[in-house]
Amino acid sequence: MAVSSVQARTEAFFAERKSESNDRLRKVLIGLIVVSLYPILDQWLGIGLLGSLIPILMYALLAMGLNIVVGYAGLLDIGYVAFFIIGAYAQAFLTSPNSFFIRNGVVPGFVQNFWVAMLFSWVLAAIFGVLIGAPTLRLRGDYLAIVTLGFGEIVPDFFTNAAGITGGPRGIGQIAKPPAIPLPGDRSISFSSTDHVSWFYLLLAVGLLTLFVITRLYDSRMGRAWQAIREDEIAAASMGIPPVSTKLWAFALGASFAGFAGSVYSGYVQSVYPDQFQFSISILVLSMVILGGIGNIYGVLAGALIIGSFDRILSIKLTPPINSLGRTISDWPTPFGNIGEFLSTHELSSDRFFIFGLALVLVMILKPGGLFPSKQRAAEMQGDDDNFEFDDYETNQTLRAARRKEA
Amino acid sequence: MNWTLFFQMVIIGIATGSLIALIALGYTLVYGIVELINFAHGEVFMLGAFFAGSFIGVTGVTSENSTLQIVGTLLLALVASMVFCAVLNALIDRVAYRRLRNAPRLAPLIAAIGFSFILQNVAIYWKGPNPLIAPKILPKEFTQYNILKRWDIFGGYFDDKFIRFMAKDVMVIAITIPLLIGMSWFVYHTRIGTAMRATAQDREAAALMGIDINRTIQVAFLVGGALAGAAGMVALIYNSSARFNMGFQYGLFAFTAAVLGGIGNLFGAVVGGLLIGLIWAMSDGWMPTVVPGWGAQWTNTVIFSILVLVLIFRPAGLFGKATTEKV
Amino acid sequence: MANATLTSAPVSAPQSSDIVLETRGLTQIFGGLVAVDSVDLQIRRGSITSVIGPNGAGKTTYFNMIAGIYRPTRGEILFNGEPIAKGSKSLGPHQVTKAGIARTFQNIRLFSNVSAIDNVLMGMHCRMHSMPWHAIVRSKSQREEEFRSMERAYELLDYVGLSGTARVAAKNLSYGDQRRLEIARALASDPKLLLLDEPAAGMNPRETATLTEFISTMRTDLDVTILLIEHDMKVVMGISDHIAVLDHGVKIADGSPEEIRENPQVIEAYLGAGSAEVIARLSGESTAVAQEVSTDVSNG
Repeated sequence: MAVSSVQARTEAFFAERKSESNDRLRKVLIGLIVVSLYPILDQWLGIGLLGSLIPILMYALLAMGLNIVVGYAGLLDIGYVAFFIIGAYAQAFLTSPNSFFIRNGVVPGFVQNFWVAMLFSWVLAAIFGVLIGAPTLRLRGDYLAIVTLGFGEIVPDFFTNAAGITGGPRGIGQIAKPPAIPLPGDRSISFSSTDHVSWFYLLLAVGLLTLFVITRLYDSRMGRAWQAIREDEIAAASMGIPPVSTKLWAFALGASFAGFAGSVYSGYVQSVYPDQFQFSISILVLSMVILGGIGNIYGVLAGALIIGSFDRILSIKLTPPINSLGRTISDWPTPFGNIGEFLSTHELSSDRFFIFGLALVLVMILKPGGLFPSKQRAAEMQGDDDNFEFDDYETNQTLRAARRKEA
Repeated sequence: MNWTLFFQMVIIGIATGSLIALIALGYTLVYGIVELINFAHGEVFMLGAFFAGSFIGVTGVTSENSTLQIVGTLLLALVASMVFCAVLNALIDRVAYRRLRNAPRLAPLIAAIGFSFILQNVAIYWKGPNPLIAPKILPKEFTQYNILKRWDIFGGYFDDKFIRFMAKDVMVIAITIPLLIGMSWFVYHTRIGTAMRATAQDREAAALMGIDINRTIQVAFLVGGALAGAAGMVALIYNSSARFNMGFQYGLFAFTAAVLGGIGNLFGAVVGGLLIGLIWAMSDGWMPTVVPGWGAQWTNTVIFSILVLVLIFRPAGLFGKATTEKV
Repeated sequence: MANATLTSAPVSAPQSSDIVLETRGLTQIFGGLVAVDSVDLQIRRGSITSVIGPNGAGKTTYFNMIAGIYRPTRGEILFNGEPIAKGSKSLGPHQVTKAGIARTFQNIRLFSNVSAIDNVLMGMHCRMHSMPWHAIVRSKSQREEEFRSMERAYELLDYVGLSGTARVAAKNLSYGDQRRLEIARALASDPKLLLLDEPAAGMNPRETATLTEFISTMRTDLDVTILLIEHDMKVVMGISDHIAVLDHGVKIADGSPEEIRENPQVIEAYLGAGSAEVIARLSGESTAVAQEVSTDVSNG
């Protein structure tokens, strides 16, 4: 095989990558146009689902952020909700007149603006990501999972219990919404909770920004470092990639996007209280990442769409037909008792976590890369290496030794 | 300082601590062998409580029956719920974890998280989301009976006004201790127990020595599940109620106990369980009288903080280094 | 920090010393086991030095201390005169690499699901400078750096003879190619000292011969010092300027290949006590036989 010059091959490589990315861009744009036409369609046909799409878009934001941590850096974070809370409460602290900090005059006036506060919340969540990540990222993968779970519990507990600052279980209300954007001709785009259309486009814009930032990051020196650490931490370190700071970047970036989503969320619902942020949200978002395709951001978006629409739309819309089905077959005898009667009063929304749990199990067993896998990540999750166990053991021994050394 | 309350909480702490120890053993056994945090273990325990409740309900035995019938039913319920949970735990392993033995560690962990949610929903389908009230099988006088009062050995100190040592506390300990002894006998004095220890040390080498790894792992799941079943039955009677989400808290406390004692270490799990039980009881009952503004709502934070701190600063746990043998 | 200053400085720096790496009293104790026992060794700039020894002699542990994976229990490691491990302080593996020491692994540890070219790029990590924010805006410097790195990665692949397989996932390469790719990945960090951990392990005689030749060319082409652990005496005797022999963690000999070949202590370490005399008695040309035997033993 004749080999062309190094420069020519490099140029060819970049050209190919460019055409791939243009291809992707084209697809994203088409998708974007379809999605952004939806509100018009919704209004025209009177579907009335726009309000349900807003939380789905927020899930998508969270899922993209978690994908950095779980999909790119290979760190299992099952307490991701902690950073969502931190973002949401940060926004509340910075903008609500009821907030402890505003009442004590700590917050400068310009920060109380929704947009400025959002930036602050973003940064604040990243800082907490660093604070929580720095001591824990040395831990082995499954221990890390449990520690993040611990934080996912401690953080809402803190907001419940430190009532003097956080308003306790009742939380904080009157959070600022984005100031209305004036349009020519006495009109304006306003952002009250019922302005679904404005929120929809706001979230779409935020989502696109997130997608853009994350894809660029992954296709860079940092993204390669994540892949290397995920594949083999010892080898990566020996090739000059600092393990802790590389993981910390992923963790903090993931946290920052959760904080971002949290601040938008709190501006949307305008009041935050700890019960909104349960462990189950972490799992919900994790299911989106894993079902959609761990490590493939478009797959993750699809996962968010599938799970989000089940969570927010299907489980509600499908309940009446199932109930009526139950009533029709209520006199059919089955060995399991009267299924018809069960179905006739059953709320599908109570099955959500059964289904998400099942999705996690089935994906792991049948299609570890998810529905829309990233090729590389799927191969890793399959673990087809015969010597894996032994390798893994050895890795652990070496890792332990390395850690002893660092300690 | 209220010493009476303090000692009262010590008693409660020991009772809940032994419960936690039973669950923690399940985590530690499985982790020692397959290095998997069996996230669904807490839910297996919870279903054990549910199963015991149904079992006693079906027998129809209540506090009205004779002592022999009551004790017999309780023992039967204990055995039944142990068998039920053992089979359930091994089944989960068979269906999911076994297929993922060669996958990266995160794969079975994610599957375990999935199972934990599945099982919680199974409990809701079965008994509904409201707390399940335990069948009234222990006579009321019995559950509220203060044993030490009867003998009056400490000059009336153990009066109702002071420390109560309930019959149900005795029940917990009377069930836990034989189980712990039986289990350590099983692990240290039977062939399969030896195989388990060998597998925990080095799976490859154990396989080369002719140990059937899959069977050994299955036994670990069976034993862990049985202990969780026993804990479930005891918890139901002790707390006189059970709820679909109780596995989460108990499970995490027990996992913390296992980590605190040094995961993979049986003795450590028991000590860790007792410690966590004591901390739990103290934080709930005693701390509010000493620390102004303290309340039971801080207990979770305290225990999770212990978990996080132990993992960061002493991942081998209290006994991780002293006892290198792990199971 | 020793690492930063060393990275891009030309070798002809004021340190006139021609010792690249020096270990002084380097000791590693695992539990009660002394794996490496006060090893003193100096490695000359531009040389090929081999560390040999029977199985369990502590060679890999010695290597791992240099590479920053283990912290030495005692002793110190100087790289270009600067300590990289001394007392309780020692650089981590990534800092050691940044300082200019790269390595390969005995049991190949490539990023197996990643393409060959990306493996090499990952090895270049510590020589690249762009930060995440540069990547987000794709600044000019970032784009240029990516382009340059990619060119360099292709060059390195060409150099090790993997021109055609840049886009193949590492795990799908043949065994010999994987070994080459590991070397390319290590070279990507522009090392001044290259640690090769049994590079010929699992290779057939022909591949081994090619590899041996490749290692000596590499030294001259890239102006790199090479430290290798190897079992195969043909490789070791053929290319080493200097050989150190470890046995039970202790350095028992240190010298040119000829000196090592004739050293009775070395023969005993390999074949057991008294064997040197036996061999000497059995054959007039004791050294030749001893060499043959020890080659066979270590190959087997």
